[in-house]
Amino acid sequence: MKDLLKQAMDELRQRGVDYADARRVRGLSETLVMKNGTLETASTTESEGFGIRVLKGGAWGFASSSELTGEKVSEIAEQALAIAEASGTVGKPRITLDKRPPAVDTYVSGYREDPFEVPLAEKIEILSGACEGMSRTDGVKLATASIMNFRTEKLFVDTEGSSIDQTIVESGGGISATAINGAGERQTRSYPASFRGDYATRGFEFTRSLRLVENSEHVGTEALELLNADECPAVNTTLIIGGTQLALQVHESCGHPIELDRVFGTEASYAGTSFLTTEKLGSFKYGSKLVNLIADATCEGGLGSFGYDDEGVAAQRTDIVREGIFMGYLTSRETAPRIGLTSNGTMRASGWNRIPLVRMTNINLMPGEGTLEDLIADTEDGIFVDSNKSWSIDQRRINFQFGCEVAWEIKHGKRVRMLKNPVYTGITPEFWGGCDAVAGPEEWHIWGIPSCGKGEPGQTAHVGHGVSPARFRNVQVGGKR
Amino acid sequence: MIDRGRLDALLKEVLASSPADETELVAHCGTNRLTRFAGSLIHQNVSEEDCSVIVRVAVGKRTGVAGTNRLEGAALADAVKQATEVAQASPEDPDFPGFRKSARAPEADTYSEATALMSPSARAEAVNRTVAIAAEKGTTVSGAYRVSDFRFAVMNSSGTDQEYYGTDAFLSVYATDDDGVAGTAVAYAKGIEGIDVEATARRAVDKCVAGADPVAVDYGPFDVIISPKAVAEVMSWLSFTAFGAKQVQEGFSFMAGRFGEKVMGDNITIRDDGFDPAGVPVPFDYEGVPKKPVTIIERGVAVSPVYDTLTAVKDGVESTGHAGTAAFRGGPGPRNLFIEPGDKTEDELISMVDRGLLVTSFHYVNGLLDTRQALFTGMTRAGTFLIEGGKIVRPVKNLRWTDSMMRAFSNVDAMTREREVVGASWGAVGSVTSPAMLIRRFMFTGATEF
Repeated sequence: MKDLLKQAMDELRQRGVDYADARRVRGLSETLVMKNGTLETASTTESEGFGIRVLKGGAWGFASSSELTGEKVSEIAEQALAIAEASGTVGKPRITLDKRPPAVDTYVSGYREDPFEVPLAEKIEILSGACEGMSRTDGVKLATASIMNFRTEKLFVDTEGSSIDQTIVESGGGISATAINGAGERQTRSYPASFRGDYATRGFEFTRSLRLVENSEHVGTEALELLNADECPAVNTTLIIGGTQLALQVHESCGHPIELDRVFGTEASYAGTSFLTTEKLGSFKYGSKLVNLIADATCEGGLGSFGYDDEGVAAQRTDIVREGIFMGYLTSRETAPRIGLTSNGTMRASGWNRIPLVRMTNINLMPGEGTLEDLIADTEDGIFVDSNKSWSIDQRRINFQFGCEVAWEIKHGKRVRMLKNPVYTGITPEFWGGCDAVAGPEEWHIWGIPSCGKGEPGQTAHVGHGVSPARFRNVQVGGKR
Repeated sequence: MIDRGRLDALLKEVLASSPADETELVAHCGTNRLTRFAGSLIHQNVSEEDCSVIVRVAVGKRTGVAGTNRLEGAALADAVKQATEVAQASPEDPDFPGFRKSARAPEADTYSEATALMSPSARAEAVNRTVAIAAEKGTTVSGAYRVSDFRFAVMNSSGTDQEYYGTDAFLSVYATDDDGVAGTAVAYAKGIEGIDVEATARRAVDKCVAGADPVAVDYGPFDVIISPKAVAEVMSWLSFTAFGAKQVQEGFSFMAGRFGEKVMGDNITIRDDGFDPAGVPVPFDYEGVPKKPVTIIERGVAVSPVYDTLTAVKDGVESTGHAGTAAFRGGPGPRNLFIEPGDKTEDELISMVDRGLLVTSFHYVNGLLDTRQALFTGMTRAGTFLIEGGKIVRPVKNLRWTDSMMRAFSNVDAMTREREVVGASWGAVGSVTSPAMLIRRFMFTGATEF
């Protein structure tokens, strides 16, 4: 297939295109979901195909097919060219790409245990054990455990001479217990994170390290405790945010607004734009001096780590916010030159049948010092929240509202009671401006989110967020509102 | 793309040679084409052709699933083998009802040849028309024009053998001025014949122009008129959190334990009908079961969720033909929803409001805050206007809202008689056909800067 795609690149170059690239992708995924001991989903799916992207006359075209034949490669190349020519008939497109040397390389992500070689029975045993552990608590009506594994093989070639083979293996899982009372009220506790857990660019050794069975009983008892907890009051207070929720806070209020294609309006009609417009670069006060954010596609094991992006640009580490000042974007070969830069390698496509978009890599909040317990001990009056339940943010990423699974009231440096149905809301730069403590490296973890949505047609990306728990002053916390 | 005869032969051969006790094959083959534009230029223009098969097998009461889009050689037989190995390693599912034979689904008007044949240059020409309309008023446009054509087929070892050919077309137009003020409109239909490009563009541009120089208003309870698009955004979430039998059986839905009770106002009737040509028909589900019409809410009373075979057996009823893909068992869901209309025009709704808001669209709706109370949040977007004394007086900046949809749909005072077909946000073929609604004392809980 590589030879066929290289040949297509040669032919397109001879046809006078500005640029073209081709990707052949084979994606393998395994999803196992057990509920109350019954395996609700047990599926393995594979999807394989190729896509060709053509830039001609400053306009893009893309076509793709799952049929891997020489005849089809020629047909799809023709289609992509015709589509690019059609794109050029609207307005005066002038897309140009940055300059970079071609890359020829092979990259395999690090893993010890291939998740697709682990016997299914062993995975089922983990799920069964976890469901059983959660169900030991009377009142837990739904015990759910899941494991997902991914293997992606990618070949990239372009008209500039790049040729890159990559294999990326990812694994992870999670559990959740739902307690329901006689009135039909329900509360859920999850581990290690809500919405199916935590994931990493590692092998099955990562899923084992989550110790889903060992943590299951505690999750069950906490679900019941939460059901009987007091309602979270509506109050303006000091908020400590645990790692799993802070990861999503970073995702929505920092990760998405720094996507430079979004800043330039390409998501305007769908997911929205960004308040971080280009005149703010280098001077805008995004947060307090304690806020240091880095986009890092090179962190070992991060779910947003890889060797090369889907434009053949090597993975990089970029300053996003330094001591509270907004310093950088996630960029592509098309968007970076518009602000006088070269791509920092963040273009990724969810498969062979999608074009690459600017996507988050691992957007990490750098650690401060101390433990979570130090943060709590240092707080006179406040609320500690964790585990995401709901999320919503406006189309420029300014006004946000998050619901969490659980909260604890803090009085005089101690957790005094559990609270249910916590919600908090804020305005992004004000909220990050109120950050007055970030816990240290001992609490820092890269949370893997395998479900970041963007684009039309829809694409799902795997991204990571390294965070330690952090404290924020003057945050509006509500009950159900 | 693999031709129909070859695929049919392949599927039948695999079905006949499957080593499992029971086998089900679901094939989806087709082409998606999408032209996306921003700043009045096309920035993304794509085409995709794919053919994938999901294999589900049963060994006794153990089931396994495998999917592939490799159809050459022995790949499909390998998928059956893999699904069988998964089933053999899985624990028994005591509720598994087996694969059943379904009667042939009635014919439905699901296909538009002009849509299947639409060229990239024809889509570009449509975009050019929206650009020209926007330019007349000093605005630029973003949006997407998508067309798809596909064949969907379901076969199982009990004798089910369904297929249909379908198309759909979706257009969104989002007009913005130099200050970033926006207006939006969408269109969705079985085919491009149902997409009025000019009218959609003009609606978006007119909203944008009318929205210039918005002012901030204090948030709190407002009487609000929400557009069919905004209603559809809420209904898409309710389809996921409430209207399916799995969500009811697991106590997740606001309807659980409340059937026969009043959960919304007398004037709210919500039904799903896969064959109603007023929406975009979908004749059968992922188990090959023909769609049955289901009244979910009737005059405010919770009547029934929609079912697949597994959830139907648990409740001792028949499947209503609303199964989703076996690759991830999220439970059944409606695909062709209809909200019964009222008897007003939009102007009449506006005249009924002493002080309130007119909302063109919602953004980032989330229905997971408290699913038992259908407590939702979201933002207004692309055209929010203040109404005073029965008239629109000025555009306002966007607001966050947080409210129970049971409460909101209990406070609907009036609806338009005219409805719009809105493409469902879940992306697959499916739609919500809805009027605009006047809701009293809808809770706005925050504000943003634009």
